[in-house]
Amino acid sequence: MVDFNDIADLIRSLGKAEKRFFKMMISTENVDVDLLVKLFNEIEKESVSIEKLERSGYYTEYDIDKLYNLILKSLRGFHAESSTVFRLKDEILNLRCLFDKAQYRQCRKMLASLKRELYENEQFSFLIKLFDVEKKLIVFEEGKEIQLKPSIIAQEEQSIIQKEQKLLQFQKLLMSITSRIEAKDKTLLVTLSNPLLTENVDMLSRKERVYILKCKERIYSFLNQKIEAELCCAQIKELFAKHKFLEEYFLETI
Amino acid sequence: MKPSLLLHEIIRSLSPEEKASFLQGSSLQQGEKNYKKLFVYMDSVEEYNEEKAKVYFKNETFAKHLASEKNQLFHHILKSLRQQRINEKGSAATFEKIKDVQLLFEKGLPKIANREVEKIRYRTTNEELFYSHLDLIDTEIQYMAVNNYSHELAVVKMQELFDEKELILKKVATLNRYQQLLREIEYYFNQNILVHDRSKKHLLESFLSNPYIADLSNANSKKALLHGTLCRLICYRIMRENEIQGKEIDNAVELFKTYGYLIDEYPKMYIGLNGFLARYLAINANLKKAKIAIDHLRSIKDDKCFKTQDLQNTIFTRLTVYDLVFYNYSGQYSKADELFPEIEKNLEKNKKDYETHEITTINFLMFVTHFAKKNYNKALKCINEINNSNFEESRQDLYRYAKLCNLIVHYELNNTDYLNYSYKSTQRFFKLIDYPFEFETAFLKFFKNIAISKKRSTNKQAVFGEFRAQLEEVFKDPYQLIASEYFDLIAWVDSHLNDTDYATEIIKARTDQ
Repeated sequence: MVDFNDIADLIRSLGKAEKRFFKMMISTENVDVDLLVKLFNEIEKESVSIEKLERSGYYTEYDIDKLYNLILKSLRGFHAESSTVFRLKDEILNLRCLFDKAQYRQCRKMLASLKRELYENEQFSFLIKLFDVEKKLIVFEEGKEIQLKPSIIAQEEQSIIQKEQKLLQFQKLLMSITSRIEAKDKTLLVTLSNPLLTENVDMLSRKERVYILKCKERIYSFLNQKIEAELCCAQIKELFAKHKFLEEYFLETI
Repeated sequence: MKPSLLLHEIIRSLSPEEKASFLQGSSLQQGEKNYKKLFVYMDSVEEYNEEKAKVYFKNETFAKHLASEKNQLFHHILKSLRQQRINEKGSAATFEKIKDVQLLFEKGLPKIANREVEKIRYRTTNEELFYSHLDLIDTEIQYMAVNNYSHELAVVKMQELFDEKELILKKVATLNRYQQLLREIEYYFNQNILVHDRSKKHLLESFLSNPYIADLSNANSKKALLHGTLCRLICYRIMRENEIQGKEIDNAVELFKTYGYLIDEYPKMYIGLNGFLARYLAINANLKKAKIAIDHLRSIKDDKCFKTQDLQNTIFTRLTVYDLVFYNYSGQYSKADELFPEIEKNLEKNKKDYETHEITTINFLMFVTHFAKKNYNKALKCINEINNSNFEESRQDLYRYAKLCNLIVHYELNNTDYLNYSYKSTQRFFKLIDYPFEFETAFLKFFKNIAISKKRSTNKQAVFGEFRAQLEEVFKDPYQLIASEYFDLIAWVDSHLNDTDYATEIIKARTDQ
């Protein structure tokens, strides 16, 4: 069962447009719209408590659960277009729907264009999910190359998994640098020669490049090497300006 | 296919519930909706014709920009289908629910977000939803700052997430390896189900000695274990290792039974496994249980989990193959014949959506029924369908067998002139094959004496007799014998020796068994 404070906090966090969208969306659901809208309005009031709602005998735990899930659903719908990640997820689900409907050709067409976009935006974990659909599609393909295709996709998937593993190494390194800065570790300078930070950047993904720059920037800042630190910052900014997806990925984590 | 035709096909493929859900969902937007009008129109016509549509909507302004309305309609349909999938499939719902976590973090509600995270983590862990699990971990890492943890606590939490991600990535990598191996053996299997080239036995042995297959403890997830088990099962099936095959079938059945989510995730494997089980039971003289396994497959057709068009196609082709094999093998050709209108209708409608090897198999089995019923022209049509397919992509064992059957049908039709040409072409085909099976070589040798050679034997009975003796010898090898499971060459020879027909000989042979 949903915690009453959770649903109360959620409702009170909604903006005007989100509330309006919710009330519109709920009318398309197979639910008791009046009851749930009333419950929504009651909870929105600061003064209401779970005890008060229970005493009214009007609502059940099930209604509160239902309302909570519908609010989340409406939020997903409301923000569907505003987030790249949401849109990509929808596109992946579209492929599954088309595949289920046995629309393999259209599915393949849309998969190819989505794959390009995922590569451009370095959405590696989504690519792994996409390969799952691509593998299923192979059996419906024609042509001499189909015998080789499964192993090509498998290799492609392995290389993407390796990319994800590498990004994980960078994340770990960045976290360790941050912790050592916190502990005022004077030996941090040595980390600059860590193999991860000395790789040829031309061979790396843009996400990896940002990680390298972030690691270096933190070390230089700690060592008071302002010029080098600022240079790293400038390079990060340049990368962010060129590639919008990096901003969404690199929310400050720690 | 033109986009409009695709759209029309999708609309026509929607179930009544899907249509209702689409129409209900579209009422979210206020005012008149042109795409909804277009939907109703497209749904009402058997065949879509753009010109006719423009005439129908001539008084509507949107008729001038029909393309954009169609595009909008397509996206709304996909949106509605997505929602249905989310409502019906646990894995899709979990994938979608991760959006909630992101939204709640963005709203600055970390407590609620973390509660959702734990609910999702429970499902992704228990049902091995690796892709969603990775997505969840990434979201948690991305929004760690929203939690306002102390630095120490944040470090601990991050370390936990990193370790978790590392573990999941390892599982994904292993699963990918097993999937690749399964694909390899399936591809080989789909081309060599009936007859297998003994000289290539070493390939299968080396496949079985692959560390991932030889030692299934390398499978670090139930999904990987299932793939590994199926790899072994298929390999032993090709190698005709009956007993071990049975054990692997038991293992796979047990996995599906214990971990129900595997059926949801790999429904086609489940369908395939039921086929292996039915065949295994049948060849081990447990026809009653074999029938139960096939009937189970028939029953899952109506199961919610199997209702997608893609799976319905798979169930249809598999059931068609099992039914035809059963009726042909037991000589119940009239019963097989009764299935034909439905099969032909489906083949005509959905041919492009069926897997190539399944179409080849169905055509071959239909050939056998027609042949047994002495409908030689129809039998020839089925054989031509196979011969016109691509050898590389089709069931190679059947494609080869169809070449021989083609000669048999022409022989029965008494097409003497054509036989000469056809025999030469068949010979050329087999010369290009690096390893003809022994029964193929024997066939070509004796068929020449029976039907082609200028010094054609006057005593055909004697040649047929020799041919039979040779075939009996060849079919002592179980790798070759299995060829008779679909079309019984000995029964055909016997029909000429005993001056009967193929159907009579089959019924006689089965009664003797």
